[in-house]
Amino acid sequence: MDDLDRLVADARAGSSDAFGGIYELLARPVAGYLRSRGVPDVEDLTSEVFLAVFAGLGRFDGDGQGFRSWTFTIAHRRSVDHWRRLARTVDTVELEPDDGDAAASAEAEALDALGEARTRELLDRLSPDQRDVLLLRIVADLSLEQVAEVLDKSIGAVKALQHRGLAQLRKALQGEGVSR
Amino acid sequence: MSAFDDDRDMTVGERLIAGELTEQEPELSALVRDVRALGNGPVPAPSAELLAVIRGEVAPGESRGVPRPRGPVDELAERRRRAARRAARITLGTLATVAIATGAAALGPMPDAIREPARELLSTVADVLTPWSAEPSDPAPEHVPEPVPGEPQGNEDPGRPADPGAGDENRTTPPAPGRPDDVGRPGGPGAPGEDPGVPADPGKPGDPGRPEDPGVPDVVELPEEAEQPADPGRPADPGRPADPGRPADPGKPADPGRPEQVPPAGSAAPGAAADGVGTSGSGPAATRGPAMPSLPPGARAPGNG
Repeated sequence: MDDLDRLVADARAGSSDAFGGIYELLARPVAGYLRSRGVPDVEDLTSEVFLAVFAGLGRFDGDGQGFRSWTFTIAHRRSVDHWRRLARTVDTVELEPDDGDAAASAEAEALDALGEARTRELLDRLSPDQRDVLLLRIVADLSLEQVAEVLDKSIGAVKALQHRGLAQLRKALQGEGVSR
Repeated sequence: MSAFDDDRDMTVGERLIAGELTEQEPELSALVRDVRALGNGPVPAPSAELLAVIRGEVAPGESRGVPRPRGPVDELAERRRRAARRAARITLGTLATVAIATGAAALGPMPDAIREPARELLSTVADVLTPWSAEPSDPAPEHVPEPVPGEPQGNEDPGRPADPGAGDENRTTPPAPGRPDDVGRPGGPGAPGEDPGVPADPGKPGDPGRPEDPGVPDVVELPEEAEQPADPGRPADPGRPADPGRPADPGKPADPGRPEQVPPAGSAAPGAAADGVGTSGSGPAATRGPAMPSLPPGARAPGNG
């Protein structure tokens, strides 16, 4: 039984400390996954994800890996809802385009400082499904089966998406090399 | 691409994701490392609500106030709530206005046409709001005082029928003062012992079911008073017969001292002599007034010779 298994068992028994440990363990990859998907308010959405996890803790039945998969399922759906909501909001806020630019530029500056801008640019060349599969595999450290569960796809589809995504990135990197 | 190539690519892919193959594909391996670094940033600060959960201030399963995204359904519900609130406000305002106007109409110097319905409305509202009081429509027979034979009931109105609702002490609404027409209402001025000064109603006959009707003893006492001699110095007015157009009051006792009604022998008025009875003042005799016109000049009454 690893740390996550024990923490999940204790948290289900009502231990708030165990839930704090879960947050310490999973908040970073969840926030990284949300940030990689371009969510601007990463902290707020991460808190929403863990509040939803806490609310459904009594209904969860499984081990640490299952809990990890379930947490990223919630994170993925929350981010999808966030983008849908943002898409509806953008139509009504037409007179304030500078705010979005300012936020994007601020985030880009932070990403440049961390060397993430190029990574995000490369990831943006992928299709959403390819990007999701690679992010869940790399950032969330999920298996093929778990990614298939999170994205509600077959394992074969996830394998194909992963293969095409890596090929696309390889091609992009080779193009960068040629252009340089 | 063959199955062998597929397996090989999948293996290469798995090794890349696992952080291996740094020498065969250094650029792709570096990119995977950068992507993994996205999830190794600082731990995001939890919100206040999540912090309360982590600190153990909220038990698992407890309802939380997580703000949900507001969709079109929420907007519609909010609009409906707003409309319902506005309608309730309008209804309350209308009710308050009606209550104030009704109170002012009942108490203020308003015409009777407005004041009377307003008072009726207030009385009804008071009856509805005080369900422990007796219903006005219920005559409540047990509250009606039993008439004692031979004992006057204190009702000074001989011509008025007994009030079925009189004596209802449980009535909460006091009678409106100064309402002479409110005679048949419970607790009105016609209740026994309340209004001794109300004059007799000339259009109402006496209550036949009440033995204590004062009109009956007058008839009984008539022979005694009839034996009294008439005032010899005050002869009957021969030129003043009974008013043919005004029948005598059936509920009003006749004045026994009037010589027109009990004439002494030999001094009766021409009209009274023709009547022959006419002493009690009761209805049938008195209504025969039109049959007693003045005698033509020169005519004599049959009794006089």
